[in-house]
Amino acid sequence: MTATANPTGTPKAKKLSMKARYGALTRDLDWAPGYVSEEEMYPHTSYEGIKIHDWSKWDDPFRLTVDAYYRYQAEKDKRLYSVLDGFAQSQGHLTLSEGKYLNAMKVFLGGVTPLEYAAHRHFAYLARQFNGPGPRFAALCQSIDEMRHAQTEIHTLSNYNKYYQGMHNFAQQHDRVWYLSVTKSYFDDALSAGPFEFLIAIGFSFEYLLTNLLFVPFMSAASFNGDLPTMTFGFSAQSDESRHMTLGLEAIKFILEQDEANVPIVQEWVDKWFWRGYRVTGIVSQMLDYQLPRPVMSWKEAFELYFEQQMLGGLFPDLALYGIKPPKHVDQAIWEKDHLSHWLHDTFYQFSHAANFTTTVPDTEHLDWLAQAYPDTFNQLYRGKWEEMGKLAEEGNRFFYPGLPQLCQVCQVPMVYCENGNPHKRAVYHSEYEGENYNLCSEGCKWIFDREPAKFRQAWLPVHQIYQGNCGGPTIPDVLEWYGFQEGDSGEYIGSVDHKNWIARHQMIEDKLGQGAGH
Amino acid sequence: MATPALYDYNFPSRSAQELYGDDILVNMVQTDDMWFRSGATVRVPKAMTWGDFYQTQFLPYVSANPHTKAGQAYSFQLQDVDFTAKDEQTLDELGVGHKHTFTFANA
Repeated sequence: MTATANPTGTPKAKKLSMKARYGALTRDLDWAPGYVSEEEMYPHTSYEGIKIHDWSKWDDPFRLTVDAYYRYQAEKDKRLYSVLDGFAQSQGHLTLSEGKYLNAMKVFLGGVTPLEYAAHRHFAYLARQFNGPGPRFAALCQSIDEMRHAQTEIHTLSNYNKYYQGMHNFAQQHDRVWYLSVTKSYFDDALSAGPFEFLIAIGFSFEYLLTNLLFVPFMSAASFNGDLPTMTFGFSAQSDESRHMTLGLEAIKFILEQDEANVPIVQEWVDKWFWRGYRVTGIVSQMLDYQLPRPVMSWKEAFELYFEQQMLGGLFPDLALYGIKPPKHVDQAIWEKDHLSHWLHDTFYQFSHAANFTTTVPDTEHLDWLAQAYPDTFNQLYRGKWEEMGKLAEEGNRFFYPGLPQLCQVCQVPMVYCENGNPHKRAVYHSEYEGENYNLCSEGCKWIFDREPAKFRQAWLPVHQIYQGNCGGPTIPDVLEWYGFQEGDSGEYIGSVDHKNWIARHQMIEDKLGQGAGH
Repeated sequence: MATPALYDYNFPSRSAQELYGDDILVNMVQTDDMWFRSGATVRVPKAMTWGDFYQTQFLPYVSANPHTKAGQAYSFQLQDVDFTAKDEQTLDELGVGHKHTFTFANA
């Protein structure tokens, strides 16, 4: 008897090529609806005015199948979790540059991690709502990525939560704490937009235009400051971010290529979401310049490299072929690069009694670094105030702001900005809609408000809500209790719970191992 | 522009004056000194007199700025327009509206 590879006698199936296998596992599961119309099956993709004639033209660039995707992500998770275990077992937190470094991570955990989870949910929605199987599958992969990012960030930082204040109820704080409404409202704005606007808002403007400004300096900062776990989760996420960036670029090009009438709609979204995202990344500016005991690069340097060179110099000339211009108000962002971090960390310093982090006046070495990083502005405009605030603190009169700040109706940042080109003139803009006055921080936010006042009048502004009695009570202690704060979560760093513990733990190491071992 | 939506898109302001009873929110922003990084918001009765507002809201606020000198006089603008008032006039009578902004500087 002759052995055959196919005893049933049916012809042996030919092995599919990678491309054909990908097609079979993703596109071939798509079908044209027979019992309902396409409009009824996908009701959310027409009301924004975007015209799509051929969904099959949207090709997701990475062509991953689900099994390959999970294998690849599991490998990355294994590497990350072994680093987390090793760091925890060796008490790695004691090798950080300083305890106050973790203030940057507290801002990240409360401000950014919940956005990853929100992105997970909304990309899952897109994975149901887009008409084409290519974008649906790409959105599904990004949805799972975002869930993984939220989980790995929480797991990474949970080790620090055992030893340091300010991280214990980050999810509650994201919904309640005044400055976290900046990131929350930004994402809520995107979630409550249509599917195409969300894609331009998050997929393109955030993931492509601005993500390098957030993630690359953030990972480098972690590395510079001895935070191996955060650096590892950052790198683990960054390979996904590259895929998200490609998806964002693919999305905008697809929409623009489908119909000329899409161009002005997309241009307005690019204008809006650049400014919204830029205002959020301002939080990163103060982290880079002030919250890192070992600074890695200045905001100005990061902005010039990752935005001006890569985006304005690289991306937008390409998009000009489709009729897309650089975003409105970008000139103000360029001017602000010399000022932004100083305004925002000043704000964090003055209001840190009501935040989930601590602040302190930078030491002389740090002020000198800032002077070198900002040769045209720091000594001239900002150093004197830091020295004055430092002197007050030394005298026992540490300055905290005496009241509640005026907030911008759109970005929700306190009104801390100056007029474009004039660092001596405070910016206060107003708009009126249906008889009610609204205050805006800049021409950019005013333009966004005036474009959609019916949307932005609904903004949940923390200060206005406190005054309505919706935030635990009328006094600052009432509000802090409603935030879920505990002793040591907020205020001045010097003398704080974290600071005292940092000194005591390193003293113990020196007592056991000798002078110098604790640092 | 109308917000694109699949339904009638009409929701109220979450900061409407009616939500504060007989009170209004008023903002104060110092323009000639950057010590306060941000302007401030306070909740006050519409019927509060300018004199009361000055003594109970404005002076305690501005006095927290270590640059403030005792007895300093200030010039005010309300919504970018020069503003003067008599102590006995109420905010309502003076046209101070909900979420209006006073900018002020050393006179």
